Amino acid sequence: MISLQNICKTYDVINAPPFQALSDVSLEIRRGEIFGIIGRSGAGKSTLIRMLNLLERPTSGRILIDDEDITDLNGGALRNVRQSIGMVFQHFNLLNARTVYENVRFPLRLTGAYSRDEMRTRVEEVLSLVGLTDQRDKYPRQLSGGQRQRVGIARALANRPKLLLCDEATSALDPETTQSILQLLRQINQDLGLTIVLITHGMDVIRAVCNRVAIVDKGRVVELGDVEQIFREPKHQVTRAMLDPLGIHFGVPAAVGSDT
Amino acid sequence: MMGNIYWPEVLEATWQTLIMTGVSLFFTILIGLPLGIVLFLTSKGQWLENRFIYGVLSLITNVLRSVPFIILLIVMIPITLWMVGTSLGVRGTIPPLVVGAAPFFARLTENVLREIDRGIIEACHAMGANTRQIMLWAMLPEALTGLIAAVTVTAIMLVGYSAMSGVIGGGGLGDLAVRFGYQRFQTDVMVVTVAILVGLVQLLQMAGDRLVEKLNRK
Repeated sequence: MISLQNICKTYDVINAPPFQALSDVSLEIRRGEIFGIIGRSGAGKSTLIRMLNLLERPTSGRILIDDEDITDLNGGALRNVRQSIGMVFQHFNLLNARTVYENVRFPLRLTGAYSRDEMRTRVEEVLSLVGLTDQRDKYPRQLSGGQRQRVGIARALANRPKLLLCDEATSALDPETTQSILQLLRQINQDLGLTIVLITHGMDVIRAVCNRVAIVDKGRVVELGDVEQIFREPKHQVTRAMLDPLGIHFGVPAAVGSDT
Repeated sequence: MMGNIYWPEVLEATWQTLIMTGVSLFFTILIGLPLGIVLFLTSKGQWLENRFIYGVLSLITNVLRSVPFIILLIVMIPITLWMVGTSLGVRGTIPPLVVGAAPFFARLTENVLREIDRGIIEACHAMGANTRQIMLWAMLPEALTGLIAAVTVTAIMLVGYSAMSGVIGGGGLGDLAVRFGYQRFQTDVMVVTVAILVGLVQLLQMAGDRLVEKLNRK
């Protein structure tokens, strides 16, 4: 469904050589799966997920969604593509001056394709899907973190996207809330058949919801495959370190091991 | 003690000050708000970043803001004459007031917009919003309380500026203070005009604060 081909991204840095955030990344994401991208901070995963709706543009390489090359889209064509892709953020990024209802209606208003009644019906639908029907007239600041993220998810789903991007969607939440949000994502994936791409730095998130995972390190995909298999036999040293930061299951971590 | 005060004239002058402040505030917002929005959008790191436009607008606002208002009043006389037909009285004071205050309000607007969480802007882009939608539906509502505070500050500045215009024959309380309080040594007139100005400023500030508080509660 999504095809990233030889994506490179470099940033110009003042008084230093350019920073290579992504080097030659190629990935295929299949329709209907939950695809995880994991890496340590600074590994390039955030840049990578932002490529999928062109919040970041690649320096070179192509991005195809449903066989359509979106790499060079601009203006109205780009906005149309973005309207068909939902995105959920670590810090929710809700409009604080708007109610829950208005926040979820926002992407529908943007399209100009819905009547007032259609918008109301759709907003009520997605609010009930995320379990926030009774909070519709509250403002984001009156909600808990988990509730706010549910609003974020409802907003991302409102315009019936073909793809949902989750940018560290649970990283600002406590473990219990994280579980309930992950549960919701899994349910959305199963009930709506929606393709989800998520990035995280937590292996537990990957284990809980993902079908396949790419491990990113220093701007490269170092390992890619089914979650089960990667948890069973991690090949790359970075993967092992992330699965097992204390070095209990796979021997001494490389960083410590190299000293002995 | 209050022997020199002719109250109908004080009332008239107060009314003139209110008119000058009100009308010039209206035009100040009309010009300053779009200018502030353009400054914000074209500034570094924003999605319509444009060094040339930003540089030019920034220079103009800085130049106008650095001219002391009393000088601006004088420099503006020919332009004011051309615009409203007189450089005196209430009408003749409004153009220099707007020219003095609009750049100030534009900078305040730019700063208020800059304070908005970048994540909100990013979310708008991710949802496929265009610039007009981001501004009108997301950023301005988010910035509302900040903008009201900016309007309050600007209105108070305009009260002060309008009083200053009395020196070159503008109307209002400043005119009264200059002609009677200063030139005729009628201290009681001076005291009364100053007291009314203080009262006006106080009222404006209270009204602004209250509005901000009311809108902030949500």
